[in-house]
Amino acid sequence: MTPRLILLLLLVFSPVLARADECGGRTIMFAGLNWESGEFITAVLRALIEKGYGCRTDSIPGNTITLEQAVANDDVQLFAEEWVSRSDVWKKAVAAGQAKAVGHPFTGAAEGWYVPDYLAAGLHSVEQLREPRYVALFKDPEQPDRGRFLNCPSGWTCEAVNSAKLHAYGLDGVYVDFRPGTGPAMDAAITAAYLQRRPLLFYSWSPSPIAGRLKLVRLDEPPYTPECWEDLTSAKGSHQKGCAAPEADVAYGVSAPFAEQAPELVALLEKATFPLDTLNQALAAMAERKRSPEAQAQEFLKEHGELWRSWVSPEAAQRIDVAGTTLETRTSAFPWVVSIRGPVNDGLEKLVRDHGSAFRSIARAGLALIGLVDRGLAALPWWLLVAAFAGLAWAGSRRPVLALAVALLMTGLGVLGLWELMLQTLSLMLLSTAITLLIGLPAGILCAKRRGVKALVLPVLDAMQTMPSFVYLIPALMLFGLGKVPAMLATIVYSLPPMIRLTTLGIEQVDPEIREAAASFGVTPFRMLVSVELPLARPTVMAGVNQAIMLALSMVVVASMIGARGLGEQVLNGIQTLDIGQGLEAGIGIVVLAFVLDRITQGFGRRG
Amino acid sequence: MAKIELHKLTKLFGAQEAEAVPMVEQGAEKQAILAKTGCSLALRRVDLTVEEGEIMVVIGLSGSGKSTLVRHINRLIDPTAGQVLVDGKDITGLDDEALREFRRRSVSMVFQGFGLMPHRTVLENVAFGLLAREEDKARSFDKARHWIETVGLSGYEAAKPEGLSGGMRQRVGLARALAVDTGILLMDEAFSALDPLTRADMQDLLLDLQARLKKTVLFVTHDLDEAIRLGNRIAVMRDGELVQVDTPAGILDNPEDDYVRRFVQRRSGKTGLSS
Ligand SMILES: Nc1ncnc2c1ncn2[C@@H]1O[C@H](COP(=O)(O)OP(=O)(O)OP(=O)(O)O)[C@@H](O)[C@H]1O
Ligand SMILES: [Mg+2]
Repeated sequence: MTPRLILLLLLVFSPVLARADECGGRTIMFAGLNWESGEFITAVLRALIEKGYGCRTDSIPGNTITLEQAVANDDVQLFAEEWVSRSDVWKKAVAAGQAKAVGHPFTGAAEGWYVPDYLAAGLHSVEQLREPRYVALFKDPEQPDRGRFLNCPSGWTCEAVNSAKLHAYGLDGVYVDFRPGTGPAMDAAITAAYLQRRPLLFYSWSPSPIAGRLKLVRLDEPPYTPECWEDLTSAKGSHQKGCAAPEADVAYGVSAPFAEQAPELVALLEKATFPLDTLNQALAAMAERKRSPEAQAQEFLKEHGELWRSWVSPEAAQRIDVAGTTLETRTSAFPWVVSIRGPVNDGLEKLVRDHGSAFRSIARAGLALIGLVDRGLAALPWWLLVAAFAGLAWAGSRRPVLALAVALLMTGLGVLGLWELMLQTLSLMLLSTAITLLIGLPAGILCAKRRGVKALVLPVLDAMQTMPSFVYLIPALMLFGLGKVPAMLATIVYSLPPMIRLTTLGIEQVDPEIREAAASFGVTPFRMLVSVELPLARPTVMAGVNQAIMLALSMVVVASMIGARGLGEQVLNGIQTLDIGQGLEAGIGIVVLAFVLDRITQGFGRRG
Repeated sequence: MAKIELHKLTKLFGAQEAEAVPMVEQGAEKQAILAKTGCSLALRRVDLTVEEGEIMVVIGLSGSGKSTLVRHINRLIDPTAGQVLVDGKDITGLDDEALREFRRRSVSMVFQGFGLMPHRTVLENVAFGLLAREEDKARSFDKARHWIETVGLSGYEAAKPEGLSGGMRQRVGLARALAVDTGILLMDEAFSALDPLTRADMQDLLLDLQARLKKTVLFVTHDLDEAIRLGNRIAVMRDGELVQVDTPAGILDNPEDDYVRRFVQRRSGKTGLSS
């Protein structure tokens, strides 16, 4: 850069630079926490610091552990809700002098195992959970002989602790340790159960929108002792004895350089403590009105002036002007703005509450089917399955080398210890592909035969392929429950379009003269389809099947985010806990499965 | 009674074909009709009679409507107006079921690009028409074997079409059409895709068979030589109309107009060169 250019840039940005100097001349990077209280507190602090102290702020998304690590590296300066005693990464960073805990965003936080208040039924302690009637009450739809405990998503600190507790309370053979995959999936599952007044045993905490909105009962646990807790939170602990969490110490986590450079802001953090009730109400309002954390933060600044004025310096207080800010009015250049948010949200809530049981019975049927395939595959000896796959590869391609490669790869999966996970993924895959075929083939034929139908179906397929899957996954899991059924639904939605498209294409591409020849001999439309069109379209149709399977496999990680077991869950686990080795192992498993299924289906497509 | 009679057969391709019919009847030009209604005129009030047992060759330039004409006789194409009488019965009104029955028993067709099923063997292809009308499988294959032998393809029963030469493939096509034993045989440029020598062989084969089978054949071609060799009579088409229908000698000696004369002259030039 030439000196003149630098001068010019300095001139242009001088107001910004002058103000930013007070914060050490750089942007303050917040941890982009992905749970509601964290998001809300972050938004309030960002607003106060930007407006009151003239600093630029930004936030970077990530999961808890990665973000804690980022604080230690000073890539992130401020972590707005650090549960101090809960994380090894954090403890290490503090011990190394890389990070510091400052003040308390709130005190009196609670966490533990909860049930809805309408359950009553004399259940008040984790001790009782072993009793058969409670196991039956919390029955897991996927494994009906056990109960289900809804844990945190993997990667959250609470997840490992809860698993340790399940073991310590002697519940790990009795209850399925069910991880919902993601936070929204967890909230949706709890909310849906509450709306339908169904029994549910789950981990939760306060402050949270759940605590603000739902009436819950926390189950008693043996009292906290440091030794017990130490053991539960350590991966290498014996996990023989369980106990309640300690009075939580929640602090603002800051990086050491930041603590040094920004004493004024540290002073703010030391004072900024939200009363628990205020916080829970704000979170409940945020969830109910579906506000963004930023919008809720503005609302908070307007309503609780006295509170935050007592946190900031007088000069900063003067600079912060909340009167002028208006909320929830999306400014748009367009004169009419219609929103479908309200009706959709209300409609879904009603559907879940009033017709939930109908959807549940569909889900039960689906689960029964999945269970059947699961058990069928699991009952096969491993070598038989390997032989079956190798045989299919040979039958499709007539290439012994390929059959051998398939056999070796499948065996390799077993050697890597991925066999059971692979079977779970495979059964989901086979079933969704079967349903995709069952729907896709007739639909594709119909599209090829009726132009009207095709004109109608094509835009629907476009929507299916481009609609981000979580948009329909969360409602699907509220209706069908967490686990394999919504996962299968998502997989089918995603893999159906190429099946339909390629079937249609294959039939449309049939040589018109061959069609004419068949017609000239007086074939019936059915015979035309079965003995002329479909056989001639076979390579293209098989390409569709192949695509469907590949897309289904690409959905396994997404499926695991709503609680589907298998290789995808292992990958998700791996990334969320920074266990890259585990993620890679399971990732390889998916690739191998993809390779095997791809070559087999391709083989059958090519042969005339 | 004539085997096939076409009465004022009119065909327009387009969305509003019915609305264009009055224009056709008033004798409007093809271009004018297209401009006004968006329909292209393929046949204009064609009258033609084909007698039982004769080979009628339809000849004309590309786009003159030959394929459209023959496809009316088994209703691969439905007429816009006019009638198609086969054995004195109008087939234009047949419903789906009756039409299938008519196609199975009364007409069969041989195609320029053969129209064989690539995934079936020669035997299965030849038996296709028999199986389509639900004849017993074993008997169908027996009949098919007979016709494969008749067209000179013995030994190729189990081959797939892609392994055969063009001439052999068309023998399969011919056998398939003959196997259903219909009175009418439609051949749309059946030999046009073949090299001259193979073509001559196939013409011999057809004449040979015709001497025994006495079918009513409607044979489409571009080539006057072929028309003269095969035809008992020749129908010359131009722009969807029949210009002249006559015996080969009649066409050669008394061409109706310049269009026909040009066909004839081109041929004489050719014979001049080759002899
Ligand atoms: N399906 C169709 N849609 C629209 N127009 C058509 C269709 N089939 C034929 N035509 C038109 O009808 C006219 C006659 O076509 P036809 O195929 O009968 O000619 P042809 O004499 O067989 O020609 P060729 O020698 O090239 O086979 C042409 O102008 C053609 O463009
Ligand atoms: Mg033609």
